[in-house]
Order: sequence, then structure tokens, then C-alpha cells
Amino acid sequence: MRGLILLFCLALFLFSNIGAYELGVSPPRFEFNLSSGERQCGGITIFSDNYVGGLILTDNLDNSLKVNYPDRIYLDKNSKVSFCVIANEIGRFEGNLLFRTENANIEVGCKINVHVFENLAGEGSLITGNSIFDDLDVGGRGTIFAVSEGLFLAICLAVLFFLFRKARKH
Amino acid sequence: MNRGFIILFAVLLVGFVFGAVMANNVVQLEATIPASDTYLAISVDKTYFSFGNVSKGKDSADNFYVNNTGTEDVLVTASLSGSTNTEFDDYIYLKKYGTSVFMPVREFNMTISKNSSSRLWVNLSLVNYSSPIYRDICYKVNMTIRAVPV
Repeated sequence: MRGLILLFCLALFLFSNIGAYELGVSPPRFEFNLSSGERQCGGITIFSDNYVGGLILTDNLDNSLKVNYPDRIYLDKNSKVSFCVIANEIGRFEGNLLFRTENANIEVGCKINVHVFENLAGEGSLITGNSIFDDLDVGGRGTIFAVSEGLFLAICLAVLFFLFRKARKH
Repeated sequence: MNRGFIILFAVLLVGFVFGAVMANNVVQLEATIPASDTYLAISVDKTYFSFGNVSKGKDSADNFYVNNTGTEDVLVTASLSGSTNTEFDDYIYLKKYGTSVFMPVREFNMTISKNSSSRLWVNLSLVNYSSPIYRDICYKVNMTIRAVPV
């Protein structure tokens, strides 16, 4: 009996499975330039000539990035996956969106570079109120206001000057 | 006899002409469309390894190929999962063929250029294993080969 168990153990003993399948992704890398709070999406094609089955998706991107993608997809020759990135913190981030076969134990990754910059138009108004930049940036309304304000002051000055001269004549 | 022969000849002639006309109506188009898209792809040439019976103080090794079939250089790493006895996971090592030092799986990494292959050695070494083993242990673990763009 012990011999049978030993034989069984030997049969299983130290098998390390490695899939003999080919797995690929295209494109191999993505570049995202986002303003804070912005959302951008991309699409990845996963393909294999000899693997049909489930793929598990994970990522090793920074936690401050919110990346939306399906947890699992079914691959038959090729499949397309859409994913979206939402940035909350400013900075440069790099990581991979990873595709692992459920039973073949190959994992391939698509490199994702994300550059998140400050949302100037939105945050400037919130923090400091209207600035010259904001006024000039909104269809030239600020410029019109500045010209009309100057014209009004010039007219007021002219009226005052006229009244002053009239008073002196009397 | 002659009449039948003439009819047969006429039928064959009509068929030949019709066939010739049909053939002339087919215009074969040909073009070479060069590959323009980039992709990352790898394959591994073995389904499993059996290290056999490895006693304490001994080691056993086998090799396999990782093929980079894509258009990008890749960084290859490995990880273990689904272990039946995690204690032994620390005794599995990898090295690139031609190098001298085996590295623990979690520390192993190597670059494989596009359209090339690399041969790797995987080793279970119980040379430094010191804990007592009173019963036979069936050990099985899955090794994942990961490839990402460099």
C-alpha cells in the first residue's frame, strides 16, 4: 500500500506546470495624457493560435489611478478588451494591464504610461476666483468689459471736466 | 457516326470556348501588405516538468524555452501559485542558460529580444533544506511566466 502511495506521489511529485501556448497582445503599450479627473479609454486585442479558454485580467498600476476593465474574458483566437483610466492624482504613472491564461500559466502585459496634469481651467476658478486668464479665456468677454469700463471712466472724466469748466466760467 | 462525332466535337468546342471566356473574366489581384502593427507575444515550449524524486540535500533541474514571437523586446519574470506546500516554493530557482547563478523565482528576470528565444533552467534544490521530513511529500506548484514590454 505504501508503495502505491509512493508511486502515486512520484507521479505527481514536483510537477511544475508551464503552459505550452502562445499568447499575445496588441498594441504592446499605451500612452495617456489626462487632466485630473478626466477619463480616457483604450482597446487591446488579445490573440492566440492555440489557446481557447478564459483569461484573467489584473493590473499593477498605481492605486491612485482607477482602471476599469473586465475581470475575465473568453479567448477564442482573438478577443478585444476595452479599458478606461480615470486619474485622480497628478503625476506620471507606469504599469501593466496583465492577461493570464486560466490553466496555461502564461501572462502577458500591455504597458500603460499615464501622465496626469493639473486641470487649470477648472481648478483656477475654484481656488482663486476669476483671474485675468479666466476672463480672457472666455470668448473675449473680459476684454470687452475692460474696454467698456475704460470708456465709461473716460466719459465720466470728460463730463466732470466739462462741469468744472462751466462752474469756473460762472 | 460522323454526325454524332460532329455534335460531340461541337459540344466540346462550345464548352472550351465558354470555359476560356469564363477564365478570361477572372482577374487575379495580388498585393503585399506589409506588417505595420506592433504586438507582444510569447510562448513556452513545455507543458510540465517532473523533477522526479528529490531527497533532502539533493537537487534536480530541467530546462525549457521561452520564445519571444512578438515585435517588442520583453522583460520576462516568473511567479509560483497554487502550491501544495508553500514551504518548498522558496527552493525553486531559475537561471538563464549560459549563466552560472540560479535565482529564486520571485527575484528572477531577464530580457528577451524580439524574434528570439531563451533557454531557461528551473531547479528544485533541497541542498540547504534542513527541516525534518518524516513522510513522503507530494509537492506540486504552478509556475507562471510573465512577459511585459521592456
